[in-house]
Amino acid sequence: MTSEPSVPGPQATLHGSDASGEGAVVARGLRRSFGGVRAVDGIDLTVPAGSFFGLLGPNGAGKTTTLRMLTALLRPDAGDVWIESIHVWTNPDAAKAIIGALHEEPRLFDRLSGAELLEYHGLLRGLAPTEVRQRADDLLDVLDLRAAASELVVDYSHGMRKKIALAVALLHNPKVLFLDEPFEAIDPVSARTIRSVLQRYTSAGSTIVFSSHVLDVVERICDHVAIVHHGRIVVAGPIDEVRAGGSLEDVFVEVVGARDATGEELAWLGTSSD
Amino acid sequence: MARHFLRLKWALLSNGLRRHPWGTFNAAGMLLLGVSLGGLVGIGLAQLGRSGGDLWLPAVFTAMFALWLIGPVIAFGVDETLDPSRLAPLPLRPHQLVTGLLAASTLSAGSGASALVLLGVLIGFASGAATVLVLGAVIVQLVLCLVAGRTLTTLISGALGSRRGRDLVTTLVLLLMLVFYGLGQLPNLLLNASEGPVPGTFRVDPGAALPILRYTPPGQAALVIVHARDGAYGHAVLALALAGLWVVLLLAAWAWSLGHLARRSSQRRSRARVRGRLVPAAMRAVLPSGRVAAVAARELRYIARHPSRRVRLAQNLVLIFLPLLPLLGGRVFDQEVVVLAAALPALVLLNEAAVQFGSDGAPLWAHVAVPGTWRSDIVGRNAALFVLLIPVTTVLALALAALTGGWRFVAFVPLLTVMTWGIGTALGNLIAAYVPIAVPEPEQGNLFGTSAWQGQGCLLGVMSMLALVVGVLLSVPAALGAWRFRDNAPALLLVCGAGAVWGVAVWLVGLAAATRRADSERLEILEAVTQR
Repeated sequence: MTSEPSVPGPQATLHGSDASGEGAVVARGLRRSFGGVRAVDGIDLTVPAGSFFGLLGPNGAGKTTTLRMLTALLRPDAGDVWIESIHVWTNPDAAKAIIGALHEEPRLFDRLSGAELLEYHGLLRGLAPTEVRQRADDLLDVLDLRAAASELVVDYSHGMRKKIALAVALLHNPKVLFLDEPFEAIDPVSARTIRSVLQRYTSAGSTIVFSSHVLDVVERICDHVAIVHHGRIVVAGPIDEVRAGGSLEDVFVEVVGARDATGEELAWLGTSSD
Repeated sequence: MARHFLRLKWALLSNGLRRHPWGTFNAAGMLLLGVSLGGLVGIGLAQLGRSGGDLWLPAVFTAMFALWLIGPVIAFGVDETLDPSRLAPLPLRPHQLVTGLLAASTLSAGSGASALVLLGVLIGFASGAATVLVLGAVIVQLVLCLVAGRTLTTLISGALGSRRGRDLVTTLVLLLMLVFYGLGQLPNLLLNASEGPVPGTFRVDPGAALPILRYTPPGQAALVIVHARDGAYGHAVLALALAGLWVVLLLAAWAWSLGHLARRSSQRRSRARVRGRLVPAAMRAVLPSGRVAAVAARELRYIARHPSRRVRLAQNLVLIFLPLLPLLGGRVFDQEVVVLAAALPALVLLNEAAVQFGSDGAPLWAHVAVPGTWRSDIVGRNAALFVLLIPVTTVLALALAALTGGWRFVAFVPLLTVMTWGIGTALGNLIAAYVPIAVPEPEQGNLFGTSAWQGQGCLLGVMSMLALVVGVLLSVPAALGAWRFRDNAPALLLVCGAGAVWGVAVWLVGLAAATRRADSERLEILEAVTQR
């Protein structure tokens, strides 16, 4: 595990220094700007194989941009990414074959039914039709979507959309799974099921990189964490080391910086307007 | 309230322009068009008034009213103040909403154009004692137009909450479009129906339309001016009162529909259930690979299930059936030309291929995230268009054959359709790969296309027109060959067969170029078609 708090990453350029053998996911010197705003400012990251890795950070810290670059959906201005020792930008097809991704706002072909959507993604990935159907049936059962399998995804609730998007991400049995806020809007029963599925997934040697605001969930399921702030990783390591006997929330607030607002400023709130 | 809504409208307009660079171009074009047209019509009416003519006035007022009815429907989703469901959560009473929304309506290119037209009426027709009545009629006409447009969009806003309502609105607007196309052909049809089809011999008598139009709300406003000009002040005042009554009725209907919309706490949505597999067995048997078949099947599902895709396709189909209109007017071409023309409209479907990535929008990431070339994806999309073309061109060819008696040419239509499909999709694929643009989401934007494209539709329109010209040029050799050998069936078959081979060759070349571009620029394409 590497972290270089408040120190910009190495002067990496695309296809720069080779760090491919260090972990399931390795990023070096990732940078990305939008307009004049630097969203990611030199991220160095090593995710050990088989780990459940939590990527934390306040809103706008650069987590989603980082995940999009790690999953080859956004080209960085500078930096390199290796997935299972495969360089994402020189061998994108090989990298994409072993990646699964769930995005914060699942953008799906929502005029298909849940079953059709899974079949579509399976066929896009070149899976055999019979294999697709078998896996889709299993995923629909486990994620409690069987009853809605023939309904159009556009009619799904937000939580159901998250679950079908997770099924899409798992369908081709990827080696590395990237999840952006996977438990948002998920009911407690489904959340427990998903946690079990994901823990079983990592225990089999696969890797999960998981972004969340919910520190409680991260503390319960992640074995490694990194905290992103202003586009950089400010703390990273095994979760017990990061917590150092305290709570993850304390560490988070400390490294991100506590806000001054106490609520006293909104003295009018809750008082009668009559 | 009016001031707040005016500021809201101004903020929405200026923010939209800042956000979409093409939007500035689009807005400037709309403003220029509105001012030019409004100015020209206004000058014409001013001259008409001074020369003593007034027969056209009810027709002009009615046309203006009709444009105000349809314009906001087309622009629905672009102008957020047009959609009252967005304002429903605010604690505003219907009369406050009416005041505010009416004020917001005045801030548009359409209202500027209308003001110029009515200024022309005022200059041309107001004189002496009639001035007050003409001024009143002009004001009533403007308010009528604004209120009618807003009332219709409020009703539509409610209807768009359900799938059935969206389909109903879609159908109504398409029918209106067909009526407009038909009206455009009316002079032609009448000319051809008359015995002496010499241009200029046919005269439309505007007086014949007056008895009908005088009973419409805008017709009443026009009658005020006609009567006031004739010195029949009593009739003019009565017509003004009737036109004013129409305004009151429309305002009441608008206020009621606004209140009704606000009371609906949640919109019920019907949940559609679908059975069977994504890729039907017949398609699996014909198409080359799982990925091609999957994309083709998904495209066809989307065209059937997605409101804006259905509308766009229907618009294209309207274009395809336009060749029938001259026949209805009696201008019957030679049999072979008409029947072979059934294959030409397939070129129009290049519009569909041109927005193949934009139609997917953000979900296109699913294609970016999987390994492999996009060749199969493009082939799948093109195959779906071909499947659609089969019934359309068959119906069209049979209809044309029935009208002309050219049955023996029907068998050649499929071969020429292959050619035009190949050329059209080749050009469409190139536009999609080189000029990818985002297509508005139907729930956020409107159902009816181009005006919700924040100016990108203008760029696409220019590209599509150029591509259509190129497509026609590429089709010319086969068309000339078919004309040359129209009386020689074996030679005609050879020419049409060669045309089909030529179309497939063009398609392959276009496909290779589009695939090369799409594969190397897939992240940029995803970025371009994803709306933020």
